[in-house]
Amino acid sequence: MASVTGKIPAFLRRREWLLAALVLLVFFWFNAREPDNYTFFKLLNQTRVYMVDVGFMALGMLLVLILGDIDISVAATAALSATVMGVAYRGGQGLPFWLSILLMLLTGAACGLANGLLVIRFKELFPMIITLSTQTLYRGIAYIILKDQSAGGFPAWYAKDLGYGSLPLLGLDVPIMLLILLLVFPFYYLWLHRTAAGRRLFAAGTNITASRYSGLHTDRIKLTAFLLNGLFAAIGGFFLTSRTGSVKYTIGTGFEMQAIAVAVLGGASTSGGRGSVPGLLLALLLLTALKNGLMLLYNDAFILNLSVGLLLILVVLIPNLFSALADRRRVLRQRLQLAK
Amino acid sequence: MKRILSVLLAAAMLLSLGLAVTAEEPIKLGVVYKQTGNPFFEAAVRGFEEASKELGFEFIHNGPADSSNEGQIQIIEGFIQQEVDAIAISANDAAGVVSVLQTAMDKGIKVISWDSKVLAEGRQLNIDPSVAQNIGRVQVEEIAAQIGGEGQIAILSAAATHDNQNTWIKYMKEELEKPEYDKIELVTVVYGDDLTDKSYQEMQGLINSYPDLKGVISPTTVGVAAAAVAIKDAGMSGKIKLTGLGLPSEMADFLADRTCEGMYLWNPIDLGYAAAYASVAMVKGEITGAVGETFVAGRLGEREIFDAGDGGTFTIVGDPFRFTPENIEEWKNVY
Amino acid sequence: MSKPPVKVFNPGRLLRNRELGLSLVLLALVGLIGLRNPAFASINNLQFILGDTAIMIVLALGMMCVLLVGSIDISISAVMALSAMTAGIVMKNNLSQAEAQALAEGAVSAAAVKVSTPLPLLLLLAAGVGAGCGLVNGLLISYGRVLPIVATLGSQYIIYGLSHLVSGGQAVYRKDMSEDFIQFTRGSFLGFNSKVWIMLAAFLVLLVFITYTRHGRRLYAVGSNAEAARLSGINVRAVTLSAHVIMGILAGLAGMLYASHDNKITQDMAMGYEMYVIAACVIGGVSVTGGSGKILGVALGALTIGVINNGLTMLRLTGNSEFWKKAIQGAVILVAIITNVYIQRGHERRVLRERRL
Repeated sequence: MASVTGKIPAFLRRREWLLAALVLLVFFWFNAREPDNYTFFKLLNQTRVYMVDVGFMALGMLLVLILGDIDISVAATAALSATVMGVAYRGGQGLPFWLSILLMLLTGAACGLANGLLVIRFKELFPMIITLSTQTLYRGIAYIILKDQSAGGFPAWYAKDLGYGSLPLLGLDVPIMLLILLLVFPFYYLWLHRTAAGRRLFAAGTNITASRYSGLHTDRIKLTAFLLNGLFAAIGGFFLTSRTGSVKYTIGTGFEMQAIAVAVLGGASTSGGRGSVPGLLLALLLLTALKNGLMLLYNDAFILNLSVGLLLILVVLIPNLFSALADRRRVLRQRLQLAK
Repeated sequence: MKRILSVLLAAAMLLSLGLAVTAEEPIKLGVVYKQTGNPFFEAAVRGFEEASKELGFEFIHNGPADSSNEGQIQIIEGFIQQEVDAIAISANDAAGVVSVLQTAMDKGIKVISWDSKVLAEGRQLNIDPSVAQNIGRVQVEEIAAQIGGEGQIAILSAAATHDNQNTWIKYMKEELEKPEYDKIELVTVVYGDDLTDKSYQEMQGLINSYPDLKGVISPTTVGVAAAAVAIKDAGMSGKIKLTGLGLPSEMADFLADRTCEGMYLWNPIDLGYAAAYASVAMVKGEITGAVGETFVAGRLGEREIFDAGDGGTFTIVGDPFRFTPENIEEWKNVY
Repeated sequence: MSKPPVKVFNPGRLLRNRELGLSLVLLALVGLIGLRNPAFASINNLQFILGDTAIMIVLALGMMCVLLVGSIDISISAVMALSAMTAGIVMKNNLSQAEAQALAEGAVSAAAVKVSTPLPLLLLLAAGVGAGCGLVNGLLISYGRVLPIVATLGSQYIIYGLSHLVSGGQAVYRKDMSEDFIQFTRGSFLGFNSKVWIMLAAFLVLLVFITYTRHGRRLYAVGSNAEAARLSGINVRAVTLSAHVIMGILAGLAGMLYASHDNKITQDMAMGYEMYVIAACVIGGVSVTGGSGKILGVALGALTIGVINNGLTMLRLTGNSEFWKKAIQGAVILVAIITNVYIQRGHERRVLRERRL
């Protein structure tokens, strides 16, 4: 596990190991309780529901979080983009499917771009507030387009092969959308952690003023990050729709918080400068395993959310408590030294 | 919290032990409804419970809190994972769940829709509470009688993707074409999505924007209850007439003070009960969902399967029942 | 040496006062919409808007305290749900019928009046639950050093989950409510809905607290510069904690108002409401980074949102459907906060210019 450009590498490495350990722990714990239903084989199938769409959104969100910003309009972006796709295709009567997909991606990018422009133009405003209003704006536009109706009628392969299709690999049925997600990870990791562009992102997030004075085009970096975020959000929406086969202006509600939770769990900090791609993947796996297990055991969406919330807080709180203790110990030691 | 968890865990483990011991695997049903926190579905679940005592099957039930399509898909995926024998669903989006239900059927799981159906390619049988035309017709008759045969009316529906809503509204509109309803004008149809908040606000919007509005039909238990509150809050009780499909327990107060003078519903307990019997019959192979087949739905008697006209089949439970201020006392504690 | 600046009545300066500007915008909105639809500007309707917005104002008052110290709380809707649900379950379990009073006009049968635990007790319970939630949030943020967004994001999930556990999967419907509770938000006094009076009471209390008490001023200090505040002897952690507790109490109260208004308490009620509240604060001029904001501004901000909401329905532009409004709302909020920024920049430029070097 390579360390990340930014703050203390050792700390972050610890987080990823912690996540990996948790994943295994959770898996075996639930497997022991429900050996028939909670198997690796079945979990693979469940990744469709819990992992892929949120995963893409989290990937985009990671960029924004590293900058120290936040974007809570991603779910609305996804909904709007998917709406555009559905309406453009119009059940086969409209534009060809590939063109509809292209329009969807463009919409996502446009939404992200709009967010980015607003953020750099109005630096006084917290991105939270800006994306709060663009969230209602985007969903509202989706509503204007579709009203209360739903758009569907996509080509059969979209739902059958993408949404529910799998490829037999090594004796397992791996969902195609999962494969696509996993394929993205290595490239993403390389780009973020190993290229100059990625480093610039971390630099801007760590200290934006210093970065600007060092010659980085911080505005351009922000713009790019938000644009990509919008794009990823649209892709997430694309996979979400492949499972449901229809688009409504309400789709994806709540996904923005899940995306943030995944990214933060994976090591990103909302104050910027930190983030980890392997961490994100592990966080995704952990949440998938956890959510599915809880769903099986308790059949209750609220217990699910409660556990995710608890996990999120604990993962962030406990290291803080440890470092607070370490600080106190250090101060005590210094005082003792001085007293000598 | 820990204690609740450990108790539940122990129970789960004991249950799994118990199940392993029994020689024959009991039939397992997965029941999905539109949303949790809805008394209509809570009553339907009681119907399932009643049937499960008589037939000896097990069932798990769930619905999304936000009455979303995605939520139902998640629940269905969970049921598939638990290898249920049949899924009984009241769908939020008739088209949206088709893919996942087809996946279920491919695995040998039987699929029955009830209350709000799924498209024909996603189900093997549909259970309608009553003949849809009747449901539409009686509500139009009721509102026409209440407003004296002329004036503006509006419809407060649930979601535009709810198949049952669309079907009933279609029949209502057809009914309104008849010459005796010439003086009645349907000004608009609004959607409350079966959410109390939204339904309330939609009703408020109707009151504020249509000053000549005389009557409202709300063919959804959440909608009619919210509309009643909105009408009462605006002080328009009696000036705007209200009817629809309402739960006696929710509407008892409003019938007592005449905010609503007459409404309809069928017994959701019976609906759940019939759906349970149909599911079990299908799992056992007694029926396949083809036209002409019959099955016995416990205390409801024999039910025949008809052509639904949408490429699939259906059967019905009974007739809509009229609740009035006079008979509401009797029913308000039943459901 | 130049003459000291004479205090002349400068109309320009008056206009730049944010609260006045906002009130003018509000009046303009009401006027414009009223022109198109006279029913909108009627006393009846305006009172209705006031009553409707009262809940948002109560919440915004609390949110202002939190924003002032430089924190944020997105779990308020969950707190509303938990408080209302707790009080609701208690009410439901203690429900009994009392002898009916005189037959209501036109009623067919004497509906027995439902009574339960006295309303003040229920309100206290809700406020207590809210305070508890606020306490947990505050502890996580000030002592646990967890970032406010992360802390309240997580607590939002947890609190909604608790609300579910408390409810036992059931909801509290009108038939489970005592008559007192149902009528709580339906009474009117001097022509104004009871919600308005409750809101006014909360407003006055908060006004006195923020402007005239030492602790209230400390909120501003912590938000402007936490380090400086700490060095001047203010217990920054305690102040932040107190802001969250205040928010919690107000959220608990708001939850009861909401439940009474809605006639229904579900485990997931009020989801998404926090966004409106934050928007109201921002429009009202509260700085999200902390340290500045006026109470009147907050009330005006919430009213603006309420007016837009209602106005859009009344204008019938949106065909009676609420969600066309959402897009316009989003756009208007955006415009409002951008205008805010320009006002702020103008203000800063002016201050710089007036500096005597």
